[in-house]
Amino acid sequence: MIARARRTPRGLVFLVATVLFFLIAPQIWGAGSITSSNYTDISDYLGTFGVIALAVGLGMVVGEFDISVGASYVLGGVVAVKLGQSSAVVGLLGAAAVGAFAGLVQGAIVGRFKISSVPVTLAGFIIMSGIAVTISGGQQLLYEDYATVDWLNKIHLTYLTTNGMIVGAIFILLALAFALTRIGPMMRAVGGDRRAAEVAGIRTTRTLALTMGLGGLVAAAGGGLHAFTSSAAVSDVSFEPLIDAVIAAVIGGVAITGGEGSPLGIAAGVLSLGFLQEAFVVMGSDSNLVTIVTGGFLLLVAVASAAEAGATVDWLRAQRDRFAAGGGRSRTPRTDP
Amino acid sequence: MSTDAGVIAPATVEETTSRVPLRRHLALGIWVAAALAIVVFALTTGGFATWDNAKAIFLASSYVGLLALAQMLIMTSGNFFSLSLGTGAVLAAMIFFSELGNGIVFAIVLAVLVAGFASALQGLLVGAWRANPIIVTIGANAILTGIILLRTGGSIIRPEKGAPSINWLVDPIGGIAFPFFVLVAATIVVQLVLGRTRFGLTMFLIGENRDAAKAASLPITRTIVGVFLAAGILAALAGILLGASLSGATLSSQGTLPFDAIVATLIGGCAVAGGRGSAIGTFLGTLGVAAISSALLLRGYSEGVQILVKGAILAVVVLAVHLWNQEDAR
Repeated sequence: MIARARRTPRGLVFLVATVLFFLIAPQIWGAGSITSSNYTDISDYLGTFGVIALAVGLGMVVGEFDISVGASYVLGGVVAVKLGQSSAVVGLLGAAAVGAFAGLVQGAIVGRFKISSVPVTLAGFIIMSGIAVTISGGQQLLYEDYATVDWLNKIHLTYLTTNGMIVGAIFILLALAFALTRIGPMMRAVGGDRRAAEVAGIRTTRTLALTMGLGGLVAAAGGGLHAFTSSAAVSDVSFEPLIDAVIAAVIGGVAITGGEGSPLGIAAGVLSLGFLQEAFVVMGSDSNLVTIVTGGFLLLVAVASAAEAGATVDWLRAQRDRFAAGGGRSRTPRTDP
Repeated sequence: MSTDAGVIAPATVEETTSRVPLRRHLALGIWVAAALAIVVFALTTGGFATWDNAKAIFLASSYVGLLALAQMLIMTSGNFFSLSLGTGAVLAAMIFFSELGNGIVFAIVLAVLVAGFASALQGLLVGAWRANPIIVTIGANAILTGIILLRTGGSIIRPEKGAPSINWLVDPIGGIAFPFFVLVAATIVVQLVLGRTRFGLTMFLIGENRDAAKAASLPITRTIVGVFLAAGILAALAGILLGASLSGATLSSQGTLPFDAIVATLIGGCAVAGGRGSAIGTFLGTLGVAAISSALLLRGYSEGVQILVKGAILAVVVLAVHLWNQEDAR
């Protein structure tokens, strides 16, 4: 897995493609023009969804699918608003602590019992959703520290919002950690081939627990940040935010089978979705088209990385070769070895 | 008497499995304790053990149960679960309502066929190429959601004026709501297919070990497409019945049904890794979840606590099932 020759990162390809689409498509169709508010929208999108994508993506790098980060995000928002009325920092720290704890516990269970993360984190998802709904009483919780709300929504350098910059900084910090420490290679090794990683002396349970703890932390703190930015925490129980996150992580180059992916790739995936969505906004077309297009992307990636798609490609190639050899219409029995 | 491997092998297998390992006792203990706690909790709840409440539980189980049967098939075939079935159910309900003017049978058949076909296509990607089922169904869900929103603009689809009456889809028979009979019938059919047909057996084998099934030249693609087709049909039935009871269909009418169904499937003892599952287990799991929710509701617990308890039970059951099924050689 690790020794594989470097290809152009999938995230970069998608990012370049969607940025070009964003810049060119409105011109071609002559519909609408790009203003600075379109860029702040994208920054806000990064600030809102970036963290869940990061959390889901990190989990996928170690070969696990952490459903619970969707609930960490929601619970983080509720906790941050409850604790953060007088100090936003206290609120965010509280949210981060809750998310980190939940992730650590689930990661430890997954690693220790060698059990699939899907049912474990589904249980975690439901338990945390239950806690969020209990704390909020099923109501929308308002965040009334408007100075903080205004600051987070403030626009810098014409194009960027504060929340987008904070989340961008988190991505960069993690990217540095991946580049400068052994975290990245260790996570990829655990995701690529867990038994081999164990044999190589990597503490897989600890790596899993720490990765999922980090994912929970980032998701919950991001949920808090989002609640502050929108001045309200909503405790909806839904897979919805998770789905965008998976799409972003996958088009950002995280391998569905684990063992590949990086924070910068995930950031590129989130930004790709942001640019794509905004292009449709500029053109004033139905936002549901974006949903269909991203769904199509995801199917493409799923098929492209499917374990047994190669066999079909080989078969097609064999048919083509047979055809090229002039034996196209002959019904000779197959003689391949 | 010959001493070839074919004779020796079964004896050896029997020897190794006759000693019940500790983890199985542990799993059974957890299972029984949890079940007992729930039964005691429910029976000591005022108003729980009444016929009226039982009817309410049956109705609540019906929609979840049909979706849970669908998820059970997918899980047992080794493909985790489908995240597009809830939207497929809504799609079916919408088609059902918009075609009702052409006759009720035609509307049901068309709705079931379209939802089944949409699911079967996803099964083709998973079956033929081994594409990741979670990613495929998330992608398909996005596409279906987008198409539904494009066509409806998010509004509720209702039956046209003058359409034939669909009250019989909701009305009780002998006190029990019609959807529950559909669930019971579906459970029996699925259980028979699993236990008595070549298709069912193939499905278990693929779920248990897809590589081995492939080596044995079992029809993997056809079977998995069949599984997804059946799941799409069951989801369509759930969608039509739910739509009929709400007399309208919109994307949000699926609510928490999709993951309630996954929870019920897991609580019903289905192994997430595939190869183990039963329709009756799923049926009982669904009834169990509905019964617990009902007891909590009767005791006045909030929605949040109900969700939390569901999650806690799921955690316990998943751990118990895992301990029970775990391979010894690790």
